[in-house]
Amino acid sequence: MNTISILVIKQDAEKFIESLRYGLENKADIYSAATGLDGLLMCQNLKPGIVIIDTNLEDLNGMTVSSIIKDNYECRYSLVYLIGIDCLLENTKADRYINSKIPYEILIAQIKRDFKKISGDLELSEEWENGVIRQYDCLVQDFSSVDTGGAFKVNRLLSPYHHLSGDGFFYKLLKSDDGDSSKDGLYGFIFDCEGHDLSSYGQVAAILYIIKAAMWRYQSGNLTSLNQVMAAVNEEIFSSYNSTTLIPALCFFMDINATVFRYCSAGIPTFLVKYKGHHKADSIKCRSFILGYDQDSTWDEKLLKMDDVEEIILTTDGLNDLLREKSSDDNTQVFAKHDDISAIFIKKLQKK
Amino acid sequence: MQYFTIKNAEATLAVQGNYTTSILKAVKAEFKNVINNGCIKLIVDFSNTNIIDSTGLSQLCEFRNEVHAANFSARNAHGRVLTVLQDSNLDGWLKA
Repeated sequence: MNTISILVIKQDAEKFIESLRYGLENKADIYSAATGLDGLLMCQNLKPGIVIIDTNLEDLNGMTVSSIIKDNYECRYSLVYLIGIDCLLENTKADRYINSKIPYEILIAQIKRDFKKISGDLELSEEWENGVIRQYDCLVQDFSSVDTGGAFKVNRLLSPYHHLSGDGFFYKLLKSDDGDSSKDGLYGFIFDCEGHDLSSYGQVAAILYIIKAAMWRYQSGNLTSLNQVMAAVNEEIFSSYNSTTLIPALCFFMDINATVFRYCSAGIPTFLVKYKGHHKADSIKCRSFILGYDQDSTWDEKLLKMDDVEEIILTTDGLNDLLREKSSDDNTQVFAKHDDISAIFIKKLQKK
Repeated sequence: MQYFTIKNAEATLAVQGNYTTSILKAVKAEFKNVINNGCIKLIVDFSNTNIIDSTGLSQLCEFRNEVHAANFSARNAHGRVLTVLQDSNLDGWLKA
């Protein structure tokens, strides 16, 4: 990684530079100039990656200094921050305009982001990039009301923690071959592998295949209940992995007319159901063992009548934890916790 | 050791605050030492643990497998930790 230099043009900049150095973990060469004129000369010589200019300078208006730098061909690659702005002069040029009321910690967070981008820290490896492309390429699509014959629609949300998700989900509309329409409907599942990197993404692909295979056995009548699906998946996990491999999962089947929702959870603690006329969704508890915890675990298939149901939201623990955190009495959140966020939204439609 | 205390062949794991991803590596490293020191029994004391997430649970399951289910137990779970254990059907770990 090349060392990126930063030029700070500001009076009494010591404290600011100290915070900046700390924020950037001493990875940048930081220079400073107390006046606009010194700053212009230093900028031309150094050609810094980032220039931070305070509007309030002793000799020149910072906005003028910033505009001159943006006009200078030799400094064309510098990213220019103009800070301490109370009002903006016409024809001012800069890349980032920062109001005087913005706290330093927010300014430094923004500089840190730009610094990482310039220094190539945010670039993904080819392997990682390919994984990301493949992840979205394989992602199941939304179903509109037209796709489902007007009874319901399905949307999905996938937001990996760091580009690659350890979560997986799938759903498909299937009709039976043997004329038994009770088997026609939406088959699906959601699960969560530990971590969110290349290895967990690889595990997602394997688990996706294992649960899909069991669900097709269920659809064909080879397995007669969703608890048998979970037992089959659990068995496969124990035979496929030597080390402890825990996979919270929930599989479901909803008939084509959206009258009944059958589900079986294996470690997905809750899901949300929004009833007609209710403002907030109810949380349905699914106390159950996680797949991979014990070879002899058993599960229960449950049934939810859809008469008064408007929407079902199935999530993994990333979103679950956040919802739990937000609804708890203890609101002392100190950092923006986030994980892989994924969910399936099944919305029942009113027949016209 | 920061997280484990050892008495004879019994180790107690006590995490202060949050048992989440950020401490897993350190806890795992200490656990290896604990096992190498001949401990065969593990008790998890949740007295001072406020939060446990799925990665923390996962690690405990791994430790449980290592020492075998009969030698693994937990105690003093409360608040959100207790809820998480109950939701995951793992409150059977708790012994008075």
